[in-house]
Amino acid sequence: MTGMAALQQAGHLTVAGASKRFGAALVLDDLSLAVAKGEFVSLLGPSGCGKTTLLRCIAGLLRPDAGHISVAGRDITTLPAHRRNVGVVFQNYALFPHLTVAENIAFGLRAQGVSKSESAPRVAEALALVRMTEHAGKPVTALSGGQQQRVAVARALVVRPSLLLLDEPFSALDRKLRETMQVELKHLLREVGITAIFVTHDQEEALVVSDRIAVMNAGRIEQLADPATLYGRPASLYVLDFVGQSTRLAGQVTEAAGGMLAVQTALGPVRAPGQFAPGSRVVVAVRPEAVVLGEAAENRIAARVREVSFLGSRTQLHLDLPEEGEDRGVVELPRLPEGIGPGSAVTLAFREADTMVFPAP
Amino acid sequence: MERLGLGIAWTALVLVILFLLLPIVVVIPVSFTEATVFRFPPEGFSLQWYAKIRNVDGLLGALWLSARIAALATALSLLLGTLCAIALVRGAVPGAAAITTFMVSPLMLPGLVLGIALLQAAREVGLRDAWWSLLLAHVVITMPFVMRTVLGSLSLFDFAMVDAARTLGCSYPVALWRVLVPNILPGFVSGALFAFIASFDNYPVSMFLVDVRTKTLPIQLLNYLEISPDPTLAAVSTGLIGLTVLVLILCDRLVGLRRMASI
Repeated sequence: MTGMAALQQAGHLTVAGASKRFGAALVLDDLSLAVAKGEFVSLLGPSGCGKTTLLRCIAGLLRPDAGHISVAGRDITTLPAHRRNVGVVFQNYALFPHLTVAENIAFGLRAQGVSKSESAPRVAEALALVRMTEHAGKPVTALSGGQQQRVAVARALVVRPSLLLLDEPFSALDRKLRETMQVELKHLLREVGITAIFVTHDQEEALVVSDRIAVMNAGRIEQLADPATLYGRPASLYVLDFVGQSTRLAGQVTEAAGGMLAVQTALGPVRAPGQFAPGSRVVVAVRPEAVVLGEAAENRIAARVREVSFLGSRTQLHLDLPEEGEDRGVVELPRLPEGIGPGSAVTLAFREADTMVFPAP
Repeated sequence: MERLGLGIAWTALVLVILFLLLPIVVVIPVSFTEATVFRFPPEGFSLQWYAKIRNVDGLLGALWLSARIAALATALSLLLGTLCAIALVRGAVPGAAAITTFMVSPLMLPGLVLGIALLQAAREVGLRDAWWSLLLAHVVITMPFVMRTVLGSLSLFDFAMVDAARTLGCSYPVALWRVLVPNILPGFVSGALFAFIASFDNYPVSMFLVDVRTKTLPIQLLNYLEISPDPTLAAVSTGLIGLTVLVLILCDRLVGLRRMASI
């Protein structure tokens, strides 16, 4: 239990060795996680990776088969959902259609036996917090998606939960509104000072809202890091793949000395920092914006442009690389140089320090 | 051609509505007749047949019995049927689809078959009391109506709302009561209405289970018709029509007939 105690000290929310099985499928696999007070952590992964199951275990809507969950030093593993005081914003908000906006927000206070005279000002305060005061008397079915989300957040926050869980809170909104609400919600939660866990499959969303991101894969956390580290130093090919884009080349280590590797790829030698034995099969990767056209960096490879995508503030080149599968190439440039188009031969240059090496899958 | 087709459809609609409504409407004036026979148009105006309801042996008793049986059977079906429906929709019951079909199947079974089977079953387990066998039989009669509408409302209900209520401080049963029940109320009300009517005017099943002292209204009415076919029956019918209209108005006030009809 010393490991558990150490985790508990580290975090406001602590998950220690949680496992959950649905029939034959192991959905959570001995997963541990510690979240500090006031921190925003995203659980990021594809559907079926266990992120929603983990969220439901923390909320008390599911009980893990093994492991412990504690909040603020108190073990809540066996505590039923209604006594945990953990707020949840559900994917489609799960507002109560038979109640008005104000009644939805007051629901939790009433359930917890807060008197009318005390609950009225708290509901008013929550309405003001999410700028919904003028809609207090409306039925929730008359609200737009963004307004429904605000009501769901207010309803969860008004009971002063020790933790707020958000299950894909932006997935029901269209793209433009989603971007606005992401920033708005992050700001709001920061102001309230609450610890929050977001579940999402959208890596951009995770990068925007989180202090740290836990990339999940098959019931485990593949990497838990701040967005910049996750993007710049992914711990595995899986994380590299799931967060952002990259140019990737399969190769073999030919030389390893002083923390630097020489890797022979189909497009020539590449040098990168890393620890591999000579002869290892590896994948070298570089982020799109770390690549320039020309010869202005140590690593250089020749490639052919397959397609050009104009994205407004930047332009992406998709490259033809010798082999399909492991090899793929995306380069991002602030603007498209004169004379470059589909079929152009280009030289890509990138710094050794920006080059990442992973064991070949 | 389109006009002609629509014209035919219109005519059919009017005729069918007349056919459905006329017999019911005719009963009302007949109940106020001075004549001693069932004849339209009625002669004169009197309330004598309404006064006579009280004097016909066993009629008020049968009305009271039918009302009690129908109300109790409906209430039991609502409670049990809702629990069964939740289990079928949420409980990952193996063969849920087949069980669902089975639970609403008495609707398709001839009442006679059901009546004989229930009589047999009551005999087998030694249940001789007519009142209790009637009540149990009427739970069987009403259950499919309740199941059908409650299952319909549950399939439209988002159970994340129950989870939301739980995380806000409601235990599971309280969450069901405060979130599920209000949202499937239209289904409850229309299911209960159909169930009550099905029980109240059931003849073929009850026929096998009544005894001399315990007779339901439809059976008592038919007995009376055989002995003295006078307009008392029209008076009883008019009273029932009035009651039905009253219940429909109440339902409309409570949940809205539109919401009920949509289930």
